[in-house]
Parts: sequence; structure tokens; C-alpha cells
Amino acid sequence: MNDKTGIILGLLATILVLLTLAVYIMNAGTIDFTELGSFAIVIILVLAATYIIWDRAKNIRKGLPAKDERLINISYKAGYYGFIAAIWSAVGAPLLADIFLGREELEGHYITAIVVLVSAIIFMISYFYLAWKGK
Amino acid sequence: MNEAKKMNRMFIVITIMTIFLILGVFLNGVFYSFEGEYVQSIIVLLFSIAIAIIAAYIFINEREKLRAGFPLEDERSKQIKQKASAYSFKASIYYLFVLFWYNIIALNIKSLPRMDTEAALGVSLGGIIIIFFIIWYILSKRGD
Repeated sequence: MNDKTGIILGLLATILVLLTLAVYIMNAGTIDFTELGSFAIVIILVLAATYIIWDRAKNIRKGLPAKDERLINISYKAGYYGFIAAIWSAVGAPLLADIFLGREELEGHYITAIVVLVSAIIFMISYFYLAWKGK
Repeated sequence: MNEAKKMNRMFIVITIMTIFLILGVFLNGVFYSFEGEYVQSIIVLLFSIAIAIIAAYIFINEREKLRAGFPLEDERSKQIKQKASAYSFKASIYYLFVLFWYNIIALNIKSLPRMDTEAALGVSLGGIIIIFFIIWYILSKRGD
């Protein structure tokens, strides 16, 4: 996959997240405090993703590769952690929803939303942590 | 305990766990058919067959490696696993968005079957695992 395709796919995912959030808000009717917290997390994730995309686009405009060898390794490692988080959050989502939200039955789209949210948080945290530590 | 014995023991434990998983999923599919939910039964049974085929392929491959005296996981297989996980993570995000939108549409169109907790869990996890194995297989064969 070339750099430009990667940036376009990243932008597409960001737009999809925002659209999904908008649909969720419209369907929710009344929004409680826990949901407000989730929206804040989504907005932070969107901002972090936008920063990464902007950084890569800036490199391409300068005629440099979007990611160097170190960043490629970091994104593989962070992707690995995100993947593990996706599997475990899918398994634990109904249980966590029951404990924290008191909901025994979750609609299917809530499960997928939780998996995307948790794995994206883990990916972002590991990506920035590994980049900061220089690993 | 030497390395080869440790590997053999780990291999046996993983194999037994996988057999239990496949049996569990298979029996779940059989129970669905007893309850008259034939579509869900067929999906779950097909899923258990898919896991069994993937597990058998890995089992034969790894058994040959162990017999030849190679370790279960070397530096290359670690790299491939990490790369396959990273690609699967990105692909899974799009896959989960499709499932999310499908359920939102199904809530408004009554003729479409809606996903409840169990169905969403099965379809999400099954899809993510299948995506991972396809990417892992391609990367292993390509020799990346």
C-alpha cells in the first residue's frame, strides 16, 4: 500500500467514526453522563488520529516517506496490541456492560462500538508511548 | 526441563484447548438446531468447521517443525505474527464498522435479522480471527 492510499484510508476511518458518533447521538434520544464520557474519548481518538494523518501528509508534501523504519515498527507493535485488545474487549464487553452500566443484554452495534473504541484506545496509547520511549 | 520437552508440553496443552474450543462451538451449533434455529445452527457449525480446518493446518505444520527439531516460534514467525496482527487490526476496524452499520440498518428494516449480544460476539470474534488467519497465511507464504 502506498503512502497516499494509507492517508486516504485513515481519513476514511476518521470520517466513519464521526458519522457513527453522529448516528449514535441521533438514535440515543437522551444522553447520560457515562455516554458523555465515551463521546469525549471518541473525540480525543479522532484528534489523535488526525494528528498522525496530518504528520504523515506533511512528510509526503516535503517529498519524504510518510513513515520511516522506526515508525513502521512502532505501528506494527501498536497494531499488535490493538488486535489483542480487540479480541479481549469483544469477549469482555457484555461482562463490562453488565458490571458498569447494569445492562444484561446489549444490542449488536454496542458490542462492535465497544470493540472499536477499546482497541483504538490501546492502539493510540501504545503508539504514542512507543514513539515517546523511542522503541 | 529442556527446551524441546517444554515446547512439546506447550504444544499438547494448546492442542487440547483447541479441541475443546472446537467441540464447544460445534455443540453450540447442534443445540441451536434442537431449538429450531436452523440458520444460526448452520452458521455456527460452519464456523466450527472453519476453526477445525485452520487448527488442523497449524497442527500439522507445527508438528513437522517440532519433529525436525525447530523451535515453535523463531524470530521470523514472531515478526510475521506481529505484522499479521497489525494488518488484521486495521482490517477489523473497517469490518466492525460494517457490522455496526448493518445493525443500525436492521433496527429500522424489520425484515433484516438483528444481531443480539451472542450473535454480535460470534460474528465479530469469528470475523476478526478469520481475517487474522488469512493475512497470516498470505504473509507466511510470501516470506515477509
